Amino acid sequence: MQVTVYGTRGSYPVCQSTMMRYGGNTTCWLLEVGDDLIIIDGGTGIVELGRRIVKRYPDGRRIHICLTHPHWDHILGMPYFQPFFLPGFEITIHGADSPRKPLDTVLSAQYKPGSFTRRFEQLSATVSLEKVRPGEQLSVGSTVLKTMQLNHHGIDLGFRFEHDSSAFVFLTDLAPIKGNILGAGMLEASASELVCEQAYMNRLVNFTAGADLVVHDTNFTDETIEGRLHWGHSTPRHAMQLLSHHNDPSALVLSHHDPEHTDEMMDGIYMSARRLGQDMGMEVFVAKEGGTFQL
Amino acid sequence: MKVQFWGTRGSIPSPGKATMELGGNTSCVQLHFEAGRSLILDAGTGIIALASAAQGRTAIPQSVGEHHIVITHFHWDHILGFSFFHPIYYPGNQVHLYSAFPSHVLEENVRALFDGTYSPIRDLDLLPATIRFHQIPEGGREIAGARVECVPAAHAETNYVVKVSHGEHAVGYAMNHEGCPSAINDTVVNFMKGVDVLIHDACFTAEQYVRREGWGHSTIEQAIDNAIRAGASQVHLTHHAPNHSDDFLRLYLRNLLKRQPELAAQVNIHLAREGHIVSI
Repeated sequence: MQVTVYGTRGSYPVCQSTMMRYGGNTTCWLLEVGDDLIIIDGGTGIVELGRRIVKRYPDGRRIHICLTHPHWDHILGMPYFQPFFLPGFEITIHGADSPRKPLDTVLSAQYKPGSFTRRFEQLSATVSLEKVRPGEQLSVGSTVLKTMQLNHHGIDLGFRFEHDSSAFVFLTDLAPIKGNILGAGMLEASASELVCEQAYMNRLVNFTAGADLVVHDTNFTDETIEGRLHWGHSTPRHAMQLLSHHNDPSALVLSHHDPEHTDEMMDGIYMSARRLGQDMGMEVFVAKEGGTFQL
Repeated sequence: MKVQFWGTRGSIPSPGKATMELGGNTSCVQLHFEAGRSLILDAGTGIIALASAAQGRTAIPQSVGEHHIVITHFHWDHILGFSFFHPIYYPGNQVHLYSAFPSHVLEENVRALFDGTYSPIRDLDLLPATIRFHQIPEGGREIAGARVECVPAAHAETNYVVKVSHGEHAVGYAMNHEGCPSAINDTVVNFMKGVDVLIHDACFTAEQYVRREGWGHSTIEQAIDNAIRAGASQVHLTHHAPNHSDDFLRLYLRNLLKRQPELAAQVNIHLAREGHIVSI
């Protein structure tokens, strides 16, 4: 399993020279498992990824795109993903329905007249949609994909990819749940807030157990999360607290960088997270555009 | 009058080391008039930086104000930054949006950004700022003390070019306009007659255009030609294609002007650059 970062910025793309070392493109990661190409999210990072795929496979290819949720920063690049416009590509999009819009409407709305010059229904590639219900397990190529609903506005999916003995977990846009239940339908499905929070934490701990690498939203710092818990994001400390439930904690990757964080600020956040990680016996990495991980 | 470029990229924001000089943010230009009044043209991602420069997201603004934004059309690269335009999240701010489309069309397109699907905001009416929608009628209207007029652009979908006149000066803004010979292009050139600064779509090179005729964008050559025909003193080539690096564009323009030095003799030619401020 090889993991490559094409976009790791949160909220919106940033184009400042002071942010280019960590990268300005919004969420898009590539997972290569044998010959399978699995893309996580269609933030602006998917534009460059599309160019590279077309160069490498000019005659087309089967591609899986797994969408965590349809907030702008996770789908913004989709209309500019080149393989959509080439007939040799077979693209399957996996994602959940939104509470207010089914997945197909979310996608076709990006191509509606007045917003874009071409229509979703007329793309040259063979495109199919696979709807995922939170908690469902599916096969993506030769990989097993497990899902769970994360604590964020609407329906946001956490992904766990398993292949042979490797496991890669991707958790973006999640907030601590204590006193802060955000996910659509989460509270309604539980007997009480306490039951909801405890059941969620148990699920999350199980979901990350034994993973080789866990990517976790760390948009905020201990300072900037003050008063913004309901925005739906976490800090490095929250990510490490989650992984510390395991005897042999997974390696952690900090991701979904705040669009106001310069490279210099990110260096500081990374260094203090690494120190905290050392105290807790945890290996900590930070996502940088272009970076790769081999599992 | 001052012209400030906040977003010069076309189609999709394009962050990266190779695009940092001309900029990766999508369409947004601010016109400054006297007494701190200003007008914003388009709400591409450049508008996020515009607002952040005035007041960082994490700082509570010291003062509230009026913001006037003219939207040329609703392609994503021209409206997407509005979701992250910080003044909409603070009470007391008045945000006025204008377009040549009927105001209900403008409103529908902006409301669609805030239905809870694409961000946590599930209704535009929940935003703390006051947001108003206005139509720019045929013949134009006053906005922020300036005269704003629109005529249709030559594009695959309905879109308008804009002229803003203030005192003795005028600025033309032609995004997603295809400058090949046509009756619509003649109308646009006549409309732009006498502007000091023409900000013009120049998405393609002449060679790229051959396979992209009818897509509704101009070549660098067409944009320069339109500026010369309109008698503009300066042309700022913009809506840079996402895959055109700074070096690519600079070298292309240099070679073009080496082959045709008469172009630069007739109009001042610039590649629009994020952060650039032009005084007229």
